[in-house]
Amino acid sequence: MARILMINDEIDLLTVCQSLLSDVGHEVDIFTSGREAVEQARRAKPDLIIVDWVMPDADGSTVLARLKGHPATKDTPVLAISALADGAMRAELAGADRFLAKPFDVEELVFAVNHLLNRRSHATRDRYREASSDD
Amino acid sequence: MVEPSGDTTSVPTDADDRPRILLAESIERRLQDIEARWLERVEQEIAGSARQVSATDLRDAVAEYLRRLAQALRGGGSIESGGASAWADVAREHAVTRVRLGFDVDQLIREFILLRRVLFEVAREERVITDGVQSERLADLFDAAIAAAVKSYTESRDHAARRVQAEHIGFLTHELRNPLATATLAAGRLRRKSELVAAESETLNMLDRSLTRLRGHIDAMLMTQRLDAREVECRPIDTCLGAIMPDATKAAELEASQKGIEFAVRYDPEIELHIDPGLTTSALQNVVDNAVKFTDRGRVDVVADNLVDKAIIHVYDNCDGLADEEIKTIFEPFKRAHSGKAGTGLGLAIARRAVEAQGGEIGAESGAAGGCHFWLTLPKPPH
Repeated sequence: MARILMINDEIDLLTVCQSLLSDVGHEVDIFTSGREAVEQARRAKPDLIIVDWVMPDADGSTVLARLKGHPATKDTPVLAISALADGAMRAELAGADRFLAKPFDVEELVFAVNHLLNRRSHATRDRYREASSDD
Repeated sequence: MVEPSGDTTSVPTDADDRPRILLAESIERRLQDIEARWLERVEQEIAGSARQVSATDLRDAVAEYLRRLAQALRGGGSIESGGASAWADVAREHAVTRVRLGFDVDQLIREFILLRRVLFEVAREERVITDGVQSERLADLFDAAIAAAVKSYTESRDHAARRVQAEHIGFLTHELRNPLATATLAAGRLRRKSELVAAESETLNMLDRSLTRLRGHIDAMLMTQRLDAREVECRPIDTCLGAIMPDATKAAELEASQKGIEFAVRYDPEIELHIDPGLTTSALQNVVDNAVKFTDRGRVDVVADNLVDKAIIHVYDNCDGLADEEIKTIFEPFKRAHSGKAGTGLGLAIARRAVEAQGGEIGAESGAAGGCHFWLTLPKPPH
């Protein structure tokens, strides 16, 4: 099980993603405000953050900059989602770890989430091994 | 003074040159006066009836334009000569500023007419227009300027309209994709969670099909807009027909077998091409899908011709046929010739843009007894 934080201005999308990811065993905190979500992410240090690119109080690149610019969240993988035609390019430029274009289906979402979580756990294990071999 | 006998494009004699040069000098000397008189009339006649426009915007660079006009007059020669073409250039620039100010084309033309009127007044006051030929020369320059300005105005206005339309389409597709994303996920969750009985499963299939079609329409709309705005990059590579044909005809083949119509593809897969595979697949797929969609009985044939410099893909169908008027607009967006069939009316528009972006051509013809023949050309590698 992983702890996921999801930010989107559409409550229906948040709710359905929360349900879907809960079905596969993850715990999802949902936020409609980018600002609040960033504060919560710094406190709670989730395993993964899902960010929509267009939100009323902050755009995706601003949220990403705040997350990547803070020690508590700089290594947290970010999955960007967007309905914008050039969303993938914007997300890549801003440093998102993966991008999903809306609309996506359940399998695409679950695959993307699991891929980022697995990558993170490998990275953590590698760091642990490096630290152990230094001793 | 002897009345010149030649036309305005004949090489002028010294005697011919003099009044024209005097007129040019008068324009340069009385530049500010001409500008002020013109501005006053434009304000009275045009701007008063339109929106509030500042004097600076209204004046534009008219003093500079007048200097160019004086140069064009000095230059003599034909209307296509250097000085005259520089004067036409400023007319084009001026037209673009008028699109931004919201002038209509009549107001733009009126501005030029008012300027010409002021110039004739000044010329009369200065007693520099002494014969018909010199007035004709000025009139010719103005006619050329008005023609250039109207053309530039139309292009600039169309460009602005396309940009606004592209923004609207971008906004609309974004707004449509958001609820579509939620609906797709909600349908997906139902399928994963429930022990579905056959009827529920069929209902979910229907929902999936509708959502997929909706997604296809939104993508097609965006693709058309992006091709129109030349936002889609064309990246041609050397490949062969066998690398794209199966993908491009797969969906149509399935649809044909469901409809019970014959579907045959005959081509040499080794035919070499120099194309953007994505754009070409999209173009071909849209044309072939279209043929199957509108053929309810009979057959659809896809055939490739291998010419020296290009390949031609022919698609023959057994649709009800198209009227000549329909053929003319079939590749325009939202021009669906046959009613009663589902679709966005964008497929063939996308095909045309995708083919033309690669320097190819696309066309259609209808047989007298029904049935259509669509064809598109694809470039081959240069040897």
